[in-house]
Amino acid sequence: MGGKKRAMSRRSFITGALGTAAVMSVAGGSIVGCAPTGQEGQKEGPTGAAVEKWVPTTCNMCFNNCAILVRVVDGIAMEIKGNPNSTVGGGRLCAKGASGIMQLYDPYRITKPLIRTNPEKGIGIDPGWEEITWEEAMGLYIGKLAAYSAEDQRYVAGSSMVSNLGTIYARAALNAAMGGMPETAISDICGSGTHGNQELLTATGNASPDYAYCNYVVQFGIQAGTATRHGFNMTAKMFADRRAEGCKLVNFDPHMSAAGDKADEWIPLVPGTDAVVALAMAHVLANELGVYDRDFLTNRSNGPSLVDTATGRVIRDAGTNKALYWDEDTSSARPYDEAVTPALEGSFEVDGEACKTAWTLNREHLETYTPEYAESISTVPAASIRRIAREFGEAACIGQTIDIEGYTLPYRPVAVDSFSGVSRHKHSWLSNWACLQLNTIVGSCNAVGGYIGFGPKCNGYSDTSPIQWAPGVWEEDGLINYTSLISPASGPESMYEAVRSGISVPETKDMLSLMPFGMDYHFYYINQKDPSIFNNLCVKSKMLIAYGCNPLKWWGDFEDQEQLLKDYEYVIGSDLYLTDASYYFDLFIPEATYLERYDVFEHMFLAHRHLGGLDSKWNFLLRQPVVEARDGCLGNWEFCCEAAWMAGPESNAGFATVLNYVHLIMEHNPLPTDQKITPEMVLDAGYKTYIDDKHDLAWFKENGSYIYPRKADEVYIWADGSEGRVPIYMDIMFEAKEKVGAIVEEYQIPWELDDYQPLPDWKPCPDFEVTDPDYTIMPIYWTNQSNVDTWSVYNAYLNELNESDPYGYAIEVNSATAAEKGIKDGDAISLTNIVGKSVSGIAMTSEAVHPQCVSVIGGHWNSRSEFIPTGKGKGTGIVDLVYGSLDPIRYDHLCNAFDQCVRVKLEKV
Amino acid sequence: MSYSMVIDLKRCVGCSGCVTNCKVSNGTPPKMERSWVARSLEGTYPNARRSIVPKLCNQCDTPPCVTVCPSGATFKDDSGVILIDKEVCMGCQSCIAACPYGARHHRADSLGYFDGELTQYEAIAYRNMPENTTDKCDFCMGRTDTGQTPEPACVRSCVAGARFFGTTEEMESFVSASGRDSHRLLEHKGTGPNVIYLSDFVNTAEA
Repeated sequence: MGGKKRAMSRRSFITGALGTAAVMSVAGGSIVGCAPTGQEGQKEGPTGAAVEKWVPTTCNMCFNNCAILVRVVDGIAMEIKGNPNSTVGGGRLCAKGASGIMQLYDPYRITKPLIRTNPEKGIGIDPGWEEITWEEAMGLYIGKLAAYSAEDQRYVAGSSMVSNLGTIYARAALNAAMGGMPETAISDICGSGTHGNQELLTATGNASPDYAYCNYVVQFGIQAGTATRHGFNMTAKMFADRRAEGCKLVNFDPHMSAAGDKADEWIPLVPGTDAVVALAMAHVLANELGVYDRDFLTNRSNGPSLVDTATGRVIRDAGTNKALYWDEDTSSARPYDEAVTPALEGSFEVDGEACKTAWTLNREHLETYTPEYAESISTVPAASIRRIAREFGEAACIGQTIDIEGYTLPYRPVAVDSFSGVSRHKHSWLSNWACLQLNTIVGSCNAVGGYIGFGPKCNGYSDTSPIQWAPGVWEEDGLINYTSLISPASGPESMYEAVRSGISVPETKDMLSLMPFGMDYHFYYINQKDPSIFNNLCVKSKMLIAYGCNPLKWWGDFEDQEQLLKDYEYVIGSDLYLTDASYYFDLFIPEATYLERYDVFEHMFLAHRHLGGLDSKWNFLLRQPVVEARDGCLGNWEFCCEAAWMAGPESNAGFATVLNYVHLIMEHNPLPTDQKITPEMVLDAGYKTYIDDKHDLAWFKENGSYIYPRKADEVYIWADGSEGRVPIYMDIMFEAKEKVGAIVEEYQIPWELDDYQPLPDWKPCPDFEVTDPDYTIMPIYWTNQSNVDTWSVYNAYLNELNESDPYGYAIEVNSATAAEKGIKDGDAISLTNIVGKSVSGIAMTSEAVHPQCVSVIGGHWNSRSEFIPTGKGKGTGIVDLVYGSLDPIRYDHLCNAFDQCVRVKLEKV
Repeated sequence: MSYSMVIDLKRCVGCSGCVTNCKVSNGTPPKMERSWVARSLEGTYPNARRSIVPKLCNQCDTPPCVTVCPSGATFKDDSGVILIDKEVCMGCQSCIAACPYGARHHRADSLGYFDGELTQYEAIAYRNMPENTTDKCDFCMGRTDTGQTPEPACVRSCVAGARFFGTTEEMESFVSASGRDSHRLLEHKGTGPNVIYLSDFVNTAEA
């Protein structure tokens, strides 16, 4: 297959891009505190005002990229605060953001390119790093990339994390210019199963309660609004205000994490059993209480679809293939958009075939899920399930409306939210669906106070902005499509269309062409280990470009990942630090910190990290250097621009053309193809295109933040009467199963098809089958506000916070469980999985963790890198216990999720 | 005129943002926290409840630290804020022993967060933190040379909007208007603390 080239479609570009992946001015903010200054002998006071500036830029201590102001005195950053002239953070700043100063001046940062001189690779083996020039590093980068790509593009792979999404466009453009489109080896396990379900329900891949109006929030495996999730710094105050005003928070979680701390009710459960509890709540609402939003289910869901009870398929119009509803006006089956009075429930006969409505089938399906059954699986008392379901249903205010901006809108001030805790299991799609369909049942999807998308619709960023988007519908069922997480302005996407025309024989290791509901790329790793597992349809990559990530600590057994890293012929790593993974790098390209560099549109069209809701305005920001980069270290955008220029006119022209394409500036403000590109040029062109000529880069350097109101019909997608429904019954699953099944049968690919089903179920994780009585404990990890999506243990301030917390680096053990095993606070303990792998740590007992679990913060810790003393040996890396990390049995074949649930033996050492 | 702070324990999410924002704004060295978060757990599984209480100097009306300070380095200024003149402080730590809130820290050395020399930031930031002196929260009064307090860094940065700052009269009116239960720490010790906590509470479905 050498030399094979693939055409670059929009989708393939984006997925490929994911894999590759001191100018100062006075800020708009005021100077509120001035000491300490750079004035020798001054304890306080702004006596040297001429050299003191507040510079607007954006944070990058996590992927939310909040707007900040940095006080710079004599060229040294002395203070960071939130920028009050932005809705991205609202002038507030979390623990991570303030800790950026420790990263900027961290002496353990690497600022010069390094090349390995010792060919032997392995943790603890000195790579013999030697400094090389930036020109030499660029030459190696583009030379290796071009050479491997010329043989087969699939020989090159790229991995990254989401913390720096904007930079992936520069990486992708450079890679494309060099003739390669690396395969995506991104590890991100955060939202498989969640994002997709949110797309189906809210028309965009991130959703949340409409906090400003919500009165009752139920969380499954999520800490949004109190600790984590996209936009935490934006949600925290909004949610805190509502909680103080009476909004009830119910948090289902095996561990009383930050959300459990603040919940009005923390309800512990066995890991991986959220779905059975949610389905039992649905059963109580639908069958025991009869509390469901009939109007919503009839007019905004596909609940009235007539389903052939023999086949499970929705009955469709012979000509248009539109779903048929039973029209009570005419007592006949009619296409959904012609039925005047659709029947939501009942049994009918159409052309001699017995059928029921989808909602009726759903209700019957839920009969299995009694609260007593759910209790037997989850340990959540049946009485609690019934009570929470009743409260949730009553709080939904079914039938009520509210007037906003001249629109009369449904008012459903309740929401069920889910995320990582539900996603990091097999059957993730079904489990997230089970949780989130509670929103559908009470009609809170896209309602005021309900469950809304971050950025499902945009009418423009200014009066003249050409940037607009809306989800549209899948005509056959009237179901909403969705707008892209990464680049919504590029047009709507459709999971239904992906099933209809996107399923194909896999050529890339991610196997996504078999997963129309998939998002992440974990199957890459199975194929990279051994392509024969999937019948050698893919080829192993020989070169890896790892940008801003630690691929050794991905999501399972660390040794599996070490072996993969060792197998590559050449690995290029780009990061701030030499992490564990750097022991396998051949070339290390350092990166300037976010306070030393330009980045381009980190909030790319805002949809990924910009919260929904009327209070969350459209907000464009600028990341610009506030101090000179140490040792002249380049940012990744600068590196890519310089490397493209070095590669020659043809490559540079290709680089500029790709940037023009992905940033949607080709028509209005195209970059020149015969000049060296700079990040400032892309920023200037983008701002002028998206907003107007007045708001160019110079304006942003001075002001930092541009805000434009978001209107009610952009937040509540049906406010203007737009068509659209959400699925309560997934008929498209049959079509997907048939098409995927045909391919895997023809190509002899071992593949699981069981989860392609029209209604959600709870199914056990693989390790639920472990019956050895010694292996009863499930290790879990969680993240608090200062450790989520950041450098945590590597940062001096954040490490200090962890060290001051008795549970910071300990293994938390339920007190009763500890007593049974004779374990006391401070004891050394070990956790051993069924294949004999152990990790150890220090026990701290607690009443805040399920008796069947032990818990740590950040399961990837215990860094072994000698190059980052701050973090070395801190914490216990329990993720190392997730054996079989490259075994398909741990993978959700529907949406690509990965199961981290294992049973271990807990022992006192 | 004196200043007070209100901390709403229902809104507070215990994120420690106040801790690091205080550190970066006031330049406090390792293990010296003018602002910190105390956590405890009450009850037993599965009915346990977490208590999270952000803490700082209470700027007492009757401050024992001032009483015991042998050098006069610790004093109460016109706005009621307790300050430390570090050129006078002898580092005797009497004030640390006297403070019932654990709000004072002794700077025993001149070290920073990393081995070796101080970073560029630390070299400047720690000029106000000389070796063998005591440090504590001053409501960020020390961050302006005008004598008027700015909005303290912990208040400005609080992601949950849980902190409020103003004159004692304003804050007491604010608490009264909230209709919420409130309390101050260790009032029985007669210190007259000026940090007021709006008490946490549990929402019920009927709220």
